[in-house]
Amino acid sequence: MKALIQKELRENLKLAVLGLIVISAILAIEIHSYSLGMKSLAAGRSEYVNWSALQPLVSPELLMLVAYFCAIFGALLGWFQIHNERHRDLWAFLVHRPATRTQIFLGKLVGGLVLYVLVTGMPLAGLVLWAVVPGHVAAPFEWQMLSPIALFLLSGVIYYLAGMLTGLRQARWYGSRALGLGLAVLVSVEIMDVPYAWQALGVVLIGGSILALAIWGGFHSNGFYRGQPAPGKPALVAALTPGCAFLVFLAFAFVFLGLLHLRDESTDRHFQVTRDGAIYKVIRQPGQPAEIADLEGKPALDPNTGRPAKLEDFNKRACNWISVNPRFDNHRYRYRWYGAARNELFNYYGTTPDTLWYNWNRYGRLVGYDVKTRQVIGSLGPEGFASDLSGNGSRLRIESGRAQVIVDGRILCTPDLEHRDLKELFTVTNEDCAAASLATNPAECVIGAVAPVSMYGSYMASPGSYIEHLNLIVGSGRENDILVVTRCFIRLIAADGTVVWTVPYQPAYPDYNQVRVTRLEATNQFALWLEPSWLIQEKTGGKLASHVIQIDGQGQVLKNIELPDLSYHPRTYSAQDKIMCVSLPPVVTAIIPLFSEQPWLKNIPWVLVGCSLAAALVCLPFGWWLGCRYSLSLPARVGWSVFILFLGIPGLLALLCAEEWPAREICPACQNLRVVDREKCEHCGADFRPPEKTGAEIFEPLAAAK
Amino acid sequence: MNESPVIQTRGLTRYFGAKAAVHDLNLEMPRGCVYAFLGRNGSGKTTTIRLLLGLLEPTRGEGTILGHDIRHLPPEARARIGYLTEEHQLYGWMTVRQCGEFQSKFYPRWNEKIFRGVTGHFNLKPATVVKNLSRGERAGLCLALTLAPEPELLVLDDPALGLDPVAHRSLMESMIYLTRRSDRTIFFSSHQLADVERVADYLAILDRSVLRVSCSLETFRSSVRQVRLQFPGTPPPLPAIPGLLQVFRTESELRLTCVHYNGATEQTLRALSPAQLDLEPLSLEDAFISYLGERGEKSFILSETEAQP
Amino acid sequence: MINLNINTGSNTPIYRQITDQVRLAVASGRLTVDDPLPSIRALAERLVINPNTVARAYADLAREGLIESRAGRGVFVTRKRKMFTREEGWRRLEPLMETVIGEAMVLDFTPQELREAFEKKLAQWKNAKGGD
Repeated sequence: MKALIQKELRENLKLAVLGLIVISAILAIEIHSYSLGMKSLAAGRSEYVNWSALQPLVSPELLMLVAYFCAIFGALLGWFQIHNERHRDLWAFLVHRPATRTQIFLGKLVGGLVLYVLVTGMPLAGLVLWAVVPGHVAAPFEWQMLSPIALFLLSGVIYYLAGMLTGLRQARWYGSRALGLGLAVLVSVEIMDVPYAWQALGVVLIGGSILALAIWGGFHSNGFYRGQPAPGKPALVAALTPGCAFLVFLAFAFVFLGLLHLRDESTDRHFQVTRDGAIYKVIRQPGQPAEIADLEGKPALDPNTGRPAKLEDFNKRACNWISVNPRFDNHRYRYRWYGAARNELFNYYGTTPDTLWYNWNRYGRLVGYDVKTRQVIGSLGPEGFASDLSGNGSRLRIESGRAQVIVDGRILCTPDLEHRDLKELFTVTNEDCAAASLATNPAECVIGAVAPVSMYGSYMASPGSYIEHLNLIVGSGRENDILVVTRCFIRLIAADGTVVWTVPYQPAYPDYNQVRVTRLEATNQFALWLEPSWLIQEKTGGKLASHVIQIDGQGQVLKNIELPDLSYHPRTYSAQDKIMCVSLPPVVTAIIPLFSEQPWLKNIPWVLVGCSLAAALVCLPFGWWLGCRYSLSLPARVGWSVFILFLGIPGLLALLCAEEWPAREICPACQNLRVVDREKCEHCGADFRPPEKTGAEIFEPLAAAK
Repeated sequence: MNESPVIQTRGLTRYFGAKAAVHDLNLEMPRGCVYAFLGRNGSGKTTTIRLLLGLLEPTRGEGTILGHDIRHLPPEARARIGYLTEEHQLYGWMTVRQCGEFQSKFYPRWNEKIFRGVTGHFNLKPATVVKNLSRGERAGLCLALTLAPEPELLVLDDPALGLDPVAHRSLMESMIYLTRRSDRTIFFSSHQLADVERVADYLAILDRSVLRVSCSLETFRSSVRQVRLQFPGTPPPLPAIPGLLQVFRTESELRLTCVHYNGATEQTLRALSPAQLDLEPLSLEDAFISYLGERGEKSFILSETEAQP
Repeated sequence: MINLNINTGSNTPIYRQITDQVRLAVASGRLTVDDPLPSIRALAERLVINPNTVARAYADLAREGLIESRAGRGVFVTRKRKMFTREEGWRRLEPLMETVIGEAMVLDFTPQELREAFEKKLAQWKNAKGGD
């Protein structure tokens, strides 16, 4: 087998070298562009800096390039390893030798994997080495950051195996051969979806095992379905099914969404607050103009024409909101591992003339890197600036994207990077909560959310220029105000720390966890909109109302209007949902809740599962009929039927792609069509008749040599 | 000495689509002989060889080669079988020496002297890359690689295809050389009837996927006979004759070839009252062609086109 | 050693070509008693034919009493033993005579010319044999 491995290495050397050159060039370009950006930043110009690639190891472009390269190179390598023999009819030469098919398979696999690891691993190792050595990259580094690259490398192996399977399979249409790539695509999508990195590893291992087993079986049967050892057949079917599922789904999407334009046609109802403080109800039914009416039912009118207002015009008069979701526990939203490795470990905070500042979650401090030397200069924490990374161990609470930091949960500070200091703005006291007569645990009296006004709100009713938008919210001169939400109060604080207004946070958290603030047209009037959480709406069935509170510039409540929740309604599924689920396997429809991080068993969409199951039940008799027609064994028929029951239309397609159908001939004994691969007729048990004699046969018994 | 047949099949069948490429093959090949496998192009010879070597799955039927089931040939069996494909294909990037080294690592009984001998005989330099070899040189290299492990059974699929006369002669000499040892068996398919006549002990003929002949060369030659009937005038129509292969009719003569010519056949022919009835010898090639050609009355292939003025 | 050749594609099987040539050689005096013949293996390899064919030819010749195998030393031409009865001998000769006479008739030779040519040939052979 060693000879085989050596032969594989030598045979695919050209492709490997080509791949090595390509990936090295890609990485070199990335390194070069980073260096260029840093050098120009050191010289005072920031236009060459790629702000999303401050740590190149987790930059989206680099990761995408690595992922694509590993996939394409892997698939090509795997395919070529088989193509080398197939296209020159060398398969017989390869296989007819005193070695088991397993040994030959392993020889190819090991050779290919060694090449793959060298080609992808060496340049990436070089990149990592460059990034890790201090003085090259002016950004935090943690070993966890390497997990995306590592997992993309591994998913490239899946593509390698899929490419090998594609080259190996003997199938009539080339498209059917390439179905194995569907599994590779599924794996590479899923590894970014799962919560934990070890789960991603598990996905890779499972996908890889399926493909490896299918290839192993294919080596035994020379690429055919029949003639494989027992584990090969289910592995091959499993390898083809994701590709079939994609095809079926795309076909349905093309027909129903593309050609027939089936769309989600549901009525949209929501409330809207205009800048004069008036509240309107907007109803949009599919195919009809929007109905906009105020709370008494009077339709909104266009001020110019006096006619009912059109939605686009109306939206220009609507408010723009700053929106926050306060959090009072230490639970941070957990990104899935992929996002965590990229977004959760650190964030770019800001720049001073010669320093790049980062919010490094591991230390909970603002860490500075010198732009010229690209080394750490120190970190800023609650006690002040320290020349190392952890200082005295104390941590700040820094929200990504927010300029303000929170010390101890109660003190709001603005970091002054120039002077490497923290400026206190605001402190929460227990008296706050006691004064509002709320019995709260002192430990809970912390700052829940901070939103600088200069970060505009999430709901923009109409597009507009940024400055105009700011003015709409707080008026000129107030761009640096900060919204602070504590357990008991909602406050607007000026940039120097003076409180502009205070409003009790009623109705309270956790039932109401969405807070929106905007400025109204009238001078110094604001509106707050408190909305209940999705969880509580689910529990109570949408009973809780949201509150729109109008206040004056000092925080005096002028109006408090309750609005029923219009957008919550029991989960119904549109025709579009149902039809697309017909194309999905029932097992996939049943696990859809898993993807939205909801408790699974409670939320199985039985209606949609029913749609998929209906499609599966229609396909089942067809699959059974095929098994009978071609006289598959009873275990095979049952197995396929169960498979189709669980996998629906894609399962049937997989059956059609994988199985090889024997020819049928008329049995002279019973005049029925019988398959040619059974010794006895399945209807009457008769043997096959030998071919007719012509009378010109010449046979004699042959004697061995003496 | 093991007396069981080297190759044995029972009902071996392989379908491609709806058509049977090999239909109900019952073959038995004893040890120590040279067995020629003949048939027209597309009659199933290469398919049969692939089936026997476990490179293709039979649709039904079974077979054994060196005592092992053809569907599950273990490596020990493969070590004793040498296989030469008709394309003489090898890895283009390997040199002659590297081919030998590569193969030698797999076979326990690799005889380097044979390898060097055969490659030397074909004038192959060890450093030449396979890509740069001519067809005949490649065939020589393939032959060297096949013979060096000293296989008990040699399976050759149209080995002389595309070979120049010198390479061809060398191939024949190698086959004869192998028959030195009586436990060595050769199974080869060919279109070169001269080769068959030289080296084969037995021949088998596949006619449209069905085995019709399996006998010694002698038996075949003596079974296929050519009879010439001369008539004073136009020859009469021919009655049905069992085993009739082909008939040529000229103005005064009927020439027919048939199988299993016996007394009854002669009587039937004499009943036509020919002026003369002669049995004429047939060369192996003519016998073969008339066996596999179109049955019935024949004229030269293009003579119909000449009939029009 | 005698020089034997064979042709493929002829109407005569290879083994018969060998026996015919050996017989002719013996009859014409090119091979005499106790002359060695190549071993089966050697002849097969020289002519590039199956040894079984050579074996068959030698077996036929041995049956006719033309050659014999001497243990350990090979195959030699032997004193001709009368293996054929007179009738058998004539039976073997008849078709050959037919061929010669038929051919001569076709080529328009007269019987007299044929007889004279025959006598001349016989004399040649006698001389060749006598001259050894």
